[in-house]
Amino acid sequence: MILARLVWNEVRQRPGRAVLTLLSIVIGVSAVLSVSLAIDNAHRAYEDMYKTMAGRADLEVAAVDGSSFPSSVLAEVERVPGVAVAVPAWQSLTTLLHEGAQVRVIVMGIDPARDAEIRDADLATGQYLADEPAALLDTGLARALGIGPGQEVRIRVKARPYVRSVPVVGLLAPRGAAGFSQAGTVFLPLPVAQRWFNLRDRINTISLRVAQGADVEAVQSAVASRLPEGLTVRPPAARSRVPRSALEMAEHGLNFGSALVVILGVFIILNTFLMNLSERRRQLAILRAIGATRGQLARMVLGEALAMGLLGTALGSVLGPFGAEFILGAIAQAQGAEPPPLRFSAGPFVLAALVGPLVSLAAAYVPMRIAARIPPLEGIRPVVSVDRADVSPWIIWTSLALCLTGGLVLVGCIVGWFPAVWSIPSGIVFTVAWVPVFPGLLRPVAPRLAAALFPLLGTEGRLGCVQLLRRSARAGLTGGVLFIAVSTGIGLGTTIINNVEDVRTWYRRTMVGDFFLRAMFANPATGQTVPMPESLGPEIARIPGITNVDTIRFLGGQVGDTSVAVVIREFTDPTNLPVDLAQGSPDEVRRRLFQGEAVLGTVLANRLGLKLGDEFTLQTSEGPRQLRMAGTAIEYTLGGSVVYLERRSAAKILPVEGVDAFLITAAPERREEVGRQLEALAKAQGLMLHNASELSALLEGVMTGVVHSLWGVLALGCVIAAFGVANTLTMNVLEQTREIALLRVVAMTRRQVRKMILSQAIILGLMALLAGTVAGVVTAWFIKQSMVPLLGYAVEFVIHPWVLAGSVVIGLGLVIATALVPAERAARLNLLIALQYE
Amino acid sequence: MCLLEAQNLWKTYGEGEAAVEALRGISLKVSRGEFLAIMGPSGSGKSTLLHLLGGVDVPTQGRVLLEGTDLASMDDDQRSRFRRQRIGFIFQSFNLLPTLTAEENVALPLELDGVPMAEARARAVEMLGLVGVSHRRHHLPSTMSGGEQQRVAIARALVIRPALLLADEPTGNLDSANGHQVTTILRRLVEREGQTIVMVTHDVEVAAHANRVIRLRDGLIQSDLDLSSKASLRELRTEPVP
Repeated sequence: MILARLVWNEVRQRPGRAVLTLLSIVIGVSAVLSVSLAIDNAHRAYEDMYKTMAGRADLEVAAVDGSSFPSSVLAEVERVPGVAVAVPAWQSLTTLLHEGAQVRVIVMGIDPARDAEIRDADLATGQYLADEPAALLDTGLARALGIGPGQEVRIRVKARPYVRSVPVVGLLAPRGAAGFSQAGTVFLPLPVAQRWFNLRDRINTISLRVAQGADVEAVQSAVASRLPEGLTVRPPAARSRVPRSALEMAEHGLNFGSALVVILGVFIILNTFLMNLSERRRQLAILRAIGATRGQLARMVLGEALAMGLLGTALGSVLGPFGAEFILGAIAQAQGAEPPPLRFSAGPFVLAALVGPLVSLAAAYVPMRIAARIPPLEGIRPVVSVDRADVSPWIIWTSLALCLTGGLVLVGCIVGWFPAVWSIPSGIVFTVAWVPVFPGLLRPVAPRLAAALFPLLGTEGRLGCVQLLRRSARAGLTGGVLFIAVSTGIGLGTTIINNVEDVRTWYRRTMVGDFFLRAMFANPATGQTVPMPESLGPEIARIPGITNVDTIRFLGGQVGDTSVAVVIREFTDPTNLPVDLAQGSPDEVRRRLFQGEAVLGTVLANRLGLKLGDEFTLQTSEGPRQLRMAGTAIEYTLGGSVVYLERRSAAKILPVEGVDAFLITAAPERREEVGRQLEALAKAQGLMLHNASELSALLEGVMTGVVHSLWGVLALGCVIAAFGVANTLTMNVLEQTREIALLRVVAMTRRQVRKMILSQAIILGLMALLAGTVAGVVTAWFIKQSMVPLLGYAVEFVIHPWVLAGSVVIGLGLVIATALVPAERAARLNLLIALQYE
Repeated sequence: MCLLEAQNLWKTYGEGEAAVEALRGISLKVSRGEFLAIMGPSGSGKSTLLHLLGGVDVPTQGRVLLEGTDLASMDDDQRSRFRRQRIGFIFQSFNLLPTLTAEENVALPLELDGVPMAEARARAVEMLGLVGVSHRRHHLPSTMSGGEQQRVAIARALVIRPALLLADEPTGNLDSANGHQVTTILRRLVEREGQTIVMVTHDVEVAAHANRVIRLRDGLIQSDLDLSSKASLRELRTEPVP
C-alpha cells in the first residue's frame, strides 16, 4: 500500500512523463482496437448481407458463375429425401431511382407463398406481396430514402421501358442487421421480376431447409448428384468468402501498421520506465536499505506498469471506435459502398484489453529486473551510480540473429520457399530486431558524425555527443525507435506510391475512352452490376463525332477452386489493345483473343501455375469450357482473378447478354458536343455517364481512403517515436543538471547550453534518419519482391526522392521540435540548486 | 552482554591489480546499550565497516553476528527482512523519500513489514514526538529544515524498535546547533532506552557523546578508546583530527 502511494506521489510529481507513458499505451491500444474493430465490422457486414439474403436456409443451389438457371431444377431438388422446404428466388443488383439520386440495391424476386418459410425477416408494416406488381422494401432502405407503404419507387429493369414504377406495399425488417449498402433490398413477386428482367422461367437461387434430424452434408451430396452441370449446392455462408478476399490486402497493411504502433509503444514504455527508474534509483536504494525486499520493488514496478496499462486500455478503448469508424469508412469507400453503422463485439475489445496491460508489463519487465537488483548501498553512498550504460552483447547478438532469421524467411517468401503471407511477420521481425543493435552502432558512429558536423555544431556538438554516449543504451533505443518509424514509413510509403501508380497505369491502359456509360457502379469485390441492352450500342455509335464504342460485360465463373470474373470485351479499336499486358505482345494476343483464347490476370495465372499456351478449364453455367492462355495481364478487379475473352468468341461458349459498360471515344474537336448528346441519352434512359477525368477522380477517391488510413497509422508511429526523443533528451538534461550548471558557471551561455542539447537531438536524429532511409528503401524493395509470388508480376520499383528527402526533413524537424523544451529547460537551470543536484 | 560481533572482517573491492582492500581483518564486539563511535580519515574503511555491520554489504571474508545471527549467511531477501526488523539506519544526507510526508516516511519500514497502516501511523507519530517534530508530521521533506529532516530520519530508524542503530555521519550536513540537537537525541536514546548505536563521524565533539571510540586507519583498527573517564575524553580531544 505504502509503495502504491509512493508510486502515485511520483506520478503526481512528474505528470508529463506519466502522460507520455500513458499516451504510448493509449495510441497502441486504440490502433489495435480501431483496426480489429473495423475489419471485424467489414467481415460481419459481408456475412450479414448474405445472411439477410439467405435467411434460415441450410443450403443453397446456385450456378457456379452466379448466372440464372431454369425453374424446373426446383422440382428435381424438392424430390430429394431430406429436403423439407425448397424456395426459389432470383436476385441481382439494380438501381433504384429516387429524387434525382441513384441508389444501388439488391432486387429479389421471391415466391410470395413460400418465401416466409425461409426468410429471416418480419413484416414491419403494410402487407405481404401477392402476384401483382408490388414491392416490399427492407426497413433500412425505406428509412434512408424516406419511403413508406403507399408510395411508389422506380427501379431499373432489363425489359422495355427500362425503368419501372412499382408501389411499395410493405416494409420488411430483417432479423440480421444490414450490411453495406448492397443489403438495401427491394423484394418483388418472382413472376413479376422474371417478366421485368427478361428471365422467362429462370431463377438463380434455390434456398433449402433440411428436414429435422436429416444430415445436412448427406442432403447436400444427394442434391448435388441430381443437379445439372454448372450448378452447385453449398451452405449460404460460403458465398461471403469470395468478397472477403477483396479486403485481404488492406487488412494486411492495417495489421502491419497496428503491430508496428504496438511495438514502437513497447519501446517507448520501456524507455520511459527505464528513465523513471534512473531518476528514482536512489529512492529505490533507500527503500532497499531500510528493508524493502527485491520482490517488493519488483511488484512495485510491475504494479505501476499494470495500472498504466489498465488506464491506457480504458482510454484507448474509448478512442478506438472513432478510429474504427474512420477505417471502416475508408474500406467502405474503397468498396464503393456506404459504411455500415459500427457494431461492437467482444473480440476486438478483449484483444485490446489484453494488448494494453501485456504491452505495459512486457515493457516493464527489464526495468523491474533492474529495480530488483539495485543494491541498498546506493542509498547510502553520497554519489549515485548509474545503470548499465551499454546494451549487453548477448542482446545485440540475439537481435542480429533474429534479423538474419527474419531476412532469410523474407528471402524464402520471395523465392517461394514459404507462403507469401509469412513476409509480413518476418518483415516486422527483420525491422524491429534492429532496435537493440542500434545502441551498439552509436559508439562508433556518433563521434564521427559529431566530427563531420563540427563546423555547424562546434564544441557544443562534441559535448552533446559525449553526453549521448554516456547513456548509449537509452540513446540507442530511442534512435532505434526513430529508425523503425522512418524505415517503415519510407518502406511502406514507397510501396504505397508505387502500387497506386501501378493501379493508375492499369486503369489508363484498360479503361480507354472519353466517356463511360453504365447503369450503375460495379461492385469492386464481385464485378457484379446491372447490364444494359446491347441494342444501346448502335444507338450510341450513331451519335455524330463518336469514333469508337467498346463494351465490357462481367460474368462469373470458376477455374479450379478459384471464383473468377470473366471480362468480355469487343476490343473494337484495332490500334490499341486495352489490356495491361504482363506477358505476350499486343498484336499476337489480340489475334489469339479473336481466335477464342483467353488472357488471364497475373494473380490467377500464377496461382494456377499456367504458362503461355497452356490450357485450362473455365467452369460456367453452361458446363466446363476448355480455353488456352494467350497472355497474362495486370488486373485489379476481383484481386486479379480475371479471365479476359473477346465478345464474339465468348458468345460461342457463354450466354453473353447485355453490356455492363460502354467505353466511348469521340473525335477531340467534337468531344463537348458528344458529351452533351450522351448526357441527354443517359438522362432519358436513367443511366450514369462519366467523362474520363470524372472517372479518374472517382478512382483516386476510392484509393485515397485506404491509403490515408495506412498513412494515418504510420503517422502515429512517428508521433510515438517523437515522444521517445523528447523523453530521452529530458532525462539527459535531468542527469546532466549538475554538469550543465558547472559548464554555466565556468563559461557557457544559455544559448550554448541550448545548442548542446539540440546537438544531441541532431546527432541522434540524423543517425536514425539516415540509417532509416537506407533501410526504408531496402524494405520497399523487399515488400515489392515478396508481393511477386502473390501478384505474379513485379510492380515497377521507383525510388521517390521527395519521399526520402521529405522523411528526413520532417523527421529531423520533429526531432528538433521535441528537443526545444528540454533544451530550454537546461538553459534556464537555477545554478545554485543545480550545483547541489545529485 | 554482546549484541554485535565482527570477526576478522575483510572487504576487497575490484579484482587483480585494481583490487582495493577497504578492510583488512577487523574484529570487534559491541555490547547491548553501548554507543560506539567510529572515526578515521577518508578511505580508512569506516563507512565500509558500517555497511558490513548493517548487512547492506557482505564481507569478502569474516562474519558479522547480530544477536548471534550471521548476516553473511543470509540471502538478500532474508537480510532485507532482518534489516527492516532489527537494524535502523541514519544517513548523512537524511535520505528521506521526497514524495512522502514525514509521517509516511517514518511509517514506511513498518508498512513494508506488513504492519497495518493505522498501527504504523500511530507508532510513526509517537516516534516523531520522541524526536520533537510531531508538529511537522504532514510536511514533505522539502519543506523542512536539515535538522528537522534528520530528526524525521532518526524517527524512521527508531520506529521498528531496532536492536542496533547505525548512523553514518548523522550531523555531517547540519549546522552546529542542529548537530548538537541530533547528538543529544542519540545520547538520550542510549541513556533512557538502552539503545545500541554505532556511529561513523569525523567530528570529535560528536564522538565525545559516545561511550567508546574506535579509530580506523588503512582498514585496520588503530585505537579503541573507552570514554568512561575524563582522561580518555581529554585524549580523544587532544589527538590530531584525522
